[in-house]
Amino acid sequence: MIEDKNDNLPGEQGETPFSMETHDWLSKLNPEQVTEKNAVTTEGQADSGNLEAAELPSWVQAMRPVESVLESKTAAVVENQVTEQTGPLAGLSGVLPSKPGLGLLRKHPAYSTKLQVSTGQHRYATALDRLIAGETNPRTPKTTRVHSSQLLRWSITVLLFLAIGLPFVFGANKNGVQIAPATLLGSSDQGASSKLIDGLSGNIPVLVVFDYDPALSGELEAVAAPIMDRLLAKGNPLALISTSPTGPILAEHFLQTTPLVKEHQYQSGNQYVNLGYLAGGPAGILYFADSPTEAVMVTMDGQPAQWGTGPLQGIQKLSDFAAVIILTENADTGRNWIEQAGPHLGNSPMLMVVSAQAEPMIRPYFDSGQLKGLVSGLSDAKIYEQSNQSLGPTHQFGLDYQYWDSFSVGMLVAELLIIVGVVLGGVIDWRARHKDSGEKV
Amino acid sequence: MPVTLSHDLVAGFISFLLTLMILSYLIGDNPAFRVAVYVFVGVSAGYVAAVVWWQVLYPRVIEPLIYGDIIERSLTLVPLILGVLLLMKLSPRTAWLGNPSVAFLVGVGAAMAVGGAVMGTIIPQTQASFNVFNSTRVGESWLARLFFGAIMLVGTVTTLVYFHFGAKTTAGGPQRSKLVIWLGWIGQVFIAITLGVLFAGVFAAALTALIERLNFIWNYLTSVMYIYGWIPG
Repeated sequence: MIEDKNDNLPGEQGETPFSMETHDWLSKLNPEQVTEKNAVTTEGQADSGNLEAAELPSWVQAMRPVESVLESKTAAVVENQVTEQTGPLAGLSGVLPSKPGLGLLRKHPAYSTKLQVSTGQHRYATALDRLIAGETNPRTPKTTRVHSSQLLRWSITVLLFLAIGLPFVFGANKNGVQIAPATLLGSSDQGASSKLIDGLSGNIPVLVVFDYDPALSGELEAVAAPIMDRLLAKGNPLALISTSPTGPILAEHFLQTTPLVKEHQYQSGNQYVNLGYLAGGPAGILYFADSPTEAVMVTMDGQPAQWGTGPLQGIQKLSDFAAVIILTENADTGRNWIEQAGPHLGNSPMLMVVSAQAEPMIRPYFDSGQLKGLVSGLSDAKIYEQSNQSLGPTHQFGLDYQYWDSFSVGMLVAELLIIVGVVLGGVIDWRARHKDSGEKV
Repeated sequence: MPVTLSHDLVAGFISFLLTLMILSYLIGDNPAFRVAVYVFVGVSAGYVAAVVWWQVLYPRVIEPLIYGDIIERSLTLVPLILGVLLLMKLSPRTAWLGNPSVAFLVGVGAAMAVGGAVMGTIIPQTQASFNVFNSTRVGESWLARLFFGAIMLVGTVTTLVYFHFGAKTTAGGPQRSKLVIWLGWIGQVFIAITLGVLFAGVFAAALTALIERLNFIWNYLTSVMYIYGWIPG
């Protein structure tokens, strides 16, 4: 219980300071108390007649009742003490009881059970009380106006859809009218990948890892199509594998439906074998790199994997593959293959076809030489695709050719939106600061 | 022209419908979007379960137990027991029984992660950082090599300095030295550029995925209209 000291000083409201309820039998044991109280009251009245009432600090006021009670009790005790006159205790007072038996039974000093607090403490307590009470009350949700953000969202959506969709609708790229530059300058990255594919022996199997999620299959299929087109044109047998459960079916979809790739008409069991799902994440990769024949025992069809024959002819360990090509949209997955399988590759090169979002994390491995080839994002794939012109005139009109106009215009619109957003944000910020400085003046 | 319901037409219609249902999230969370998500999650879970059964559990556990010799059966019991113990984690009462399996998984995983990171990333990448200034590299002029090497060196050092949070105790409280603050600010610029590049990559990937879907919708609509003779071929 909290009591404000200023409102209820001890003794001001008829309540005895440090009062405490006592049992009747206990109060009856102290007949001297009545006498003591009377003596103290008489002394107090006599003193108040001589001294002016002083303004005491709050902490002194808080102590005053205690002092009065203790002093009065001490005085009463001293009065009742007897000084020994003879014997070994001569000169000592209060050592032996003055009366035989239990001696004096006194009531313990009583302390108030009410907490005495200052005004500041009371204010804090009230604030805490209000805070806790506010937490238990249900809040009504504030209704905010979101029309402006919705309008902005829809505006950006319409702009992006128009930028992406108009090249499809008007068939600009199909009619030979290119909005974006039709040819891009090649870089050393694409050159390295092309040379590497061209340098592969045509009859040695290549391991292709399909480690991307269905959500980004649209991008990965477009990016991987030119490099796979070049590889399949050489006639290399393929072994497909994935550390993702959805990877094997995406691999089948890629080989059977993707433009530039499906034209090669690779047949399962003859030109390629789908080794299916490799469980265990990094541990599975390490197991496969260490001993492929033990790590993969059945193919995706549930048939026993025929290591050493068919599309897997001559393969007993990872370094027997002509090359390892990893298709992934996840930088961590790519890093796992580099870290776990890299030391087991021997002289076989490792290439990576990655999503644009994974490129910044994977590129250092290409720069350090751990990866011998890297193709990332639609722009890299477009360059690679146009370099496939040497394979025939139709080999440069794949998905990248179809998507290129939409991609270019979409990126341009996004850049313009970012610039407009930055300028608008700057203007709004400047106006807010200007307004604040005007108010201060 | 008579139109027959081919497999491609039906599959294309389902894909078209599901794409529209996902794109309906533009107007906010709605039942069509939720149905498409539930279908995706359900189909994925079912497919993954089938793949795991036929590619992992049956050939690795069931088949050796039934058809294997005594050695194969004994060896299969080890992962089987560990797997069963791991399932004990499902109940709070028996969860402690799964601790050995979890300890095995965590121990092996940590050992491989550390080993792979040291041998496959830290040492090769450190060597590659040194090699930037290698004078024997071909294909680049010494000026270009020096420039790119300097950029990489400054970027690496200042980025590391940015994450140095040591401070000296002074009368006015702990304070970083002015040199560290200055280099850290430069490192902050490199970090901001890196994050910008990451964002651009994510946007480019998402944009390509959107292009693929819109291209699919457009091709499907034009194909259907062509089949029904609404547009010329």
